[in-house]
Amino acid sequence: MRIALVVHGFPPHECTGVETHVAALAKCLGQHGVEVEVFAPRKDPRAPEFAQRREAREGYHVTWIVANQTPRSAAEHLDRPGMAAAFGEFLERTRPALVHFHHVVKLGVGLIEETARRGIPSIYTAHDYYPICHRTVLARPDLTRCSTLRDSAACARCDTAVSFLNRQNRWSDYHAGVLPESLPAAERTELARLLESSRPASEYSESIESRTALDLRRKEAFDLLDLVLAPTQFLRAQLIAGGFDADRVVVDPYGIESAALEALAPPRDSSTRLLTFGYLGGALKHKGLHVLLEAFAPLRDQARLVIHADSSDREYVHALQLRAQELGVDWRGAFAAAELASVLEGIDVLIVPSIWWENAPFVIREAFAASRPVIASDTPALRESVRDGVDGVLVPPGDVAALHAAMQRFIDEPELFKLLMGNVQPQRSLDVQCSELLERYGKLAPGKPKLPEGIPASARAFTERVLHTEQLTLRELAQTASEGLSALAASLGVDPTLAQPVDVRELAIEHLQDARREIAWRVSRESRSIADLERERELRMALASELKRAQADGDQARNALHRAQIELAGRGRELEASEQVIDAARSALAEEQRAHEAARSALEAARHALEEASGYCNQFAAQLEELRVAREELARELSVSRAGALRAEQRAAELASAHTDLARGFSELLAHAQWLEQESASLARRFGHDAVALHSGTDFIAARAAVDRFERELAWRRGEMTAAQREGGSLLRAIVRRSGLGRRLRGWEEDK
Amino acid sequence: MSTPVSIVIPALGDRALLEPGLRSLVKEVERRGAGDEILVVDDSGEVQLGPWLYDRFPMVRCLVHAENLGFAKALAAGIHTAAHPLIFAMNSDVRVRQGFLEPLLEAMGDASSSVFAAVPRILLHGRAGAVESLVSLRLEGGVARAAQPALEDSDRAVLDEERLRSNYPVPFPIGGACLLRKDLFKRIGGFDPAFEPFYLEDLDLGWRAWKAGLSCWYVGASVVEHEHRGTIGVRIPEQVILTAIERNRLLFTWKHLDDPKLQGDHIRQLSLRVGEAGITEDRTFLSALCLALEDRHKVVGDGRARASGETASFERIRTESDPFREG
Repeated sequence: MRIALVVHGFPPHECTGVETHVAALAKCLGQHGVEVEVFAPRKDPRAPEFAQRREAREGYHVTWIVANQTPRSAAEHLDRPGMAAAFGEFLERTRPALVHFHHVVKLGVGLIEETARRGIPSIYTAHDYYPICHRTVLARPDLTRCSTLRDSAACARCDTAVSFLNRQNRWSDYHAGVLPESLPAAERTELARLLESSRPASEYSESIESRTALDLRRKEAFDLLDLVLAPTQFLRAQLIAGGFDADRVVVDPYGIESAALEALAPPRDSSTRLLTFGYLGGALKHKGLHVLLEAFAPLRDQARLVIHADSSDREYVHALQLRAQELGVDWRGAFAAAELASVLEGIDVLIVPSIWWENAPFVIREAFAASRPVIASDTPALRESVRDGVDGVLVPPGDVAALHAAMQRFIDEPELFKLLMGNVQPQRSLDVQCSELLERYGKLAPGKPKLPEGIPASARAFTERVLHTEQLTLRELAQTASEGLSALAASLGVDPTLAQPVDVRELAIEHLQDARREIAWRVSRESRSIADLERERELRMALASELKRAQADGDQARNALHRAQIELAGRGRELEASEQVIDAARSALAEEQRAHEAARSALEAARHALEEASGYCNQFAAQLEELRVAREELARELSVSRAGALRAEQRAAELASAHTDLARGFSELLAHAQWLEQESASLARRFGHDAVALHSGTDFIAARAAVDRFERELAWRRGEMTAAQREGGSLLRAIVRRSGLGRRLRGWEEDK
Repeated sequence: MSTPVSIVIPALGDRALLEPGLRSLVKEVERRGAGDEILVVDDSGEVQLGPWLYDRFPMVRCLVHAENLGFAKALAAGIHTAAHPLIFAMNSDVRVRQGFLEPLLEAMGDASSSVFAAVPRILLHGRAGAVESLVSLRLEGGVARAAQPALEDSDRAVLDEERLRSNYPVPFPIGGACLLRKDLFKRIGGFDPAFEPFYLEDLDLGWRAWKAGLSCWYVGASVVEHEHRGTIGVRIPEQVILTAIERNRLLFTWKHLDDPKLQGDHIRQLSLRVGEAGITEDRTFLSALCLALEDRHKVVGDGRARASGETASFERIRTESDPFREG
């Protein structure tokens, strides 16, 4: 029988529990007469994606498939594009009677579908919770254990929380999750909020939709399996609770290669020397190494702790290493499978401090095979491996104090150590597990091909024979044909050397097949690449011309911008200056307004003076008229009275003189009043014009000068007006006083 | 009055496939009025056709077998049961055209003729020019292949209607529609079971006839249509059919290739092709070769069935039976 074992990693490239177990299983099955073909991914930057290389191992073959590319989405994590087709080629070439999957992460559920499509029976061993939890660990991103199954909304909350953590750069390598206490308060609060079940679904409806579709796809793929094996009852129960048919899930405990371990010397208790506690496994947060270090801290002077661990979670490993150094812990890093016995020989008690739903660690079986008792976290699955108080001690997961107390007991109670050590049972061997697997394989793949329905009886035998050849590999077919050809040649009486046996060319053929596949792959890839490059070239050319145009536009815009900036700067400066000018103008304007007000008052006063002068003029004119009348009367009187003629003549001369003075004074006064009126009007016009110029703000400096001028002129005119007013008044008074006109007028009035 | 013919139709029970063929056949038989016999061999392995035939085609006889025999055995059983010395073997998906029998009867000659079989112009899906029955035997990679030039694009151009209407020697009469002589069929041993369950048993039959000094002819004036609706193809996976064809080509070659030089060349080419198939992953060829090698004892060495009077060599028959040979 030929079977294919599919696993997500394989030694020497991947050497953790599952990978090492599958390698041992392949070898053991080979020893049971099974032809084993292992299919596993590996990174090889020198090889094209999905290139396959077949290597001979001890009793089996490994086909490596190159998987350099990292999945770009959750959908690609679930099913890597192209991987199923590549696996189809592997199946085509190796023709397994059955495919036994040990993991499909890094490969994709498409492999299960491809197997089913070809009608090949399949088994899946659930080494973790991947069939029901896309995160594989059934733990949420805050590393709390998850009990919510078949709820895509809950899984979507994990997705959104992971996305949140991914966005925080320092948590990019968080693996199964982060320890919330290591987060800043705000991030811790946000993480808790994102995981809160009462969170409104509308907040992450897209995530729910996406996760629901992916979960459905995963379930449909896993439903195609004929049988699912679970190493523990707990995992089986979880799978059933997660939607698997109970009939299809059976418990198949791990077997181990125990001979080398059983040969080790038993450990010694603390009565004769310092007890050595040991941790073997991954340095991942959910494995609880940080809990172990803190539990050991108070015991650093009473016992030793050796840690054989590593992982790609470098930040966590670094923190652990620093803490281990502080505590004097012997940090050894990873070890090779071949070193297991010597590693176990160096410890007395194994500690498994996991804080997740730990399943069935191989290391517990290996420690028991080497008669080392175990302290483990008290999870349902670990209870199936470790019997509390019988061959080990169970402590609540994540409980530093409880773990410390258990370790302390081992130190303080040598009798307990001996008791537990004495109760350790022989472990299930890999050989037994293989025998049971073979039975399962035989039931699912009985060897005789199943005939399709409806084959006429006359064709059944031949169809069966054809289907049988379908189970043979190409190599086997070629080998059989080649051998038969020699016999045929003999039967026909032909020189048998003409039928060259094909086995001498087997190696070359295999290499040629590999090369052909690689060439085909390269051709298809290159064709795609050339087409892609052509498209990309065209796109780039279009983009280049667009870019050129955009660059030209940009240059233009930049120049315009530059110009605008310069202009703006100028305008800014102008504005600044204008603001200063405006401020100055405002001040000047205020001052001018004040001056204007003063000028207005002065003008008003001048106008009053003018009106007063005008009143005087009218008065003088009336008096002049009166004098003229009086003269005419006097003349008449003169003609009447000769005596009075002389006097009248004298008075007339006086009056004529007074009249002349008065007329001259009046004329001067009138001329002065007219001039004053003209000047006032001119002044008002100019002031009005200057005020307009001042208000429009077009030329503040000129306006200011005009105002100054106006002010000076106004002051001068004010003086002139006052002087004229004074002079006019004095003149009138002098004339009136000198001529005794008032008195004479009054006398004349009295005479009359 | 024309010579009566027994028309033997092996059928797997597909009434829908059989009915139109029978209708055209009954009409033609009635037209001829020569006392032809129609015999349907119910090869379904169940009694599926008898009552139906009795009801729909009362003139048709039905031969029932308790189990499915396969085409060759069912046809042979029908031939043995047939009333007349001339047998028209016919697939259930063949439709005859009016007057198809007369040209065939004419080509067969009288009872003393050495013509073993005459095959009509079988038009695939009734398409003019798509002639299945105008065949020649070629050696490709040292292995015999029945070439059908009228169906192969590269050769179709040379076959105009006038040529197709003529008569030509052919290596074998296609079992799906051919007139053959019952006594000669028995004399050359009938179908070789080595070719079971299907394909190329008719090539072997015709070749043995040629070997026995008989001949087979393509008669262009006789026309039938082949619907090719899959008497076998609908029931058997394609891979099995392809493997059967490849295996039987090898068995035929081993059985009849008699020139030591050609045999040596055949073995050498097979050996090379094994390597080539390993590289090109030609599983069909390798599977067929493995199966043929398992069955080789049926056609070579002690197990080789030889009919009496086989004289002509492989190459001579190949030349004489080639409808396209010069001259």
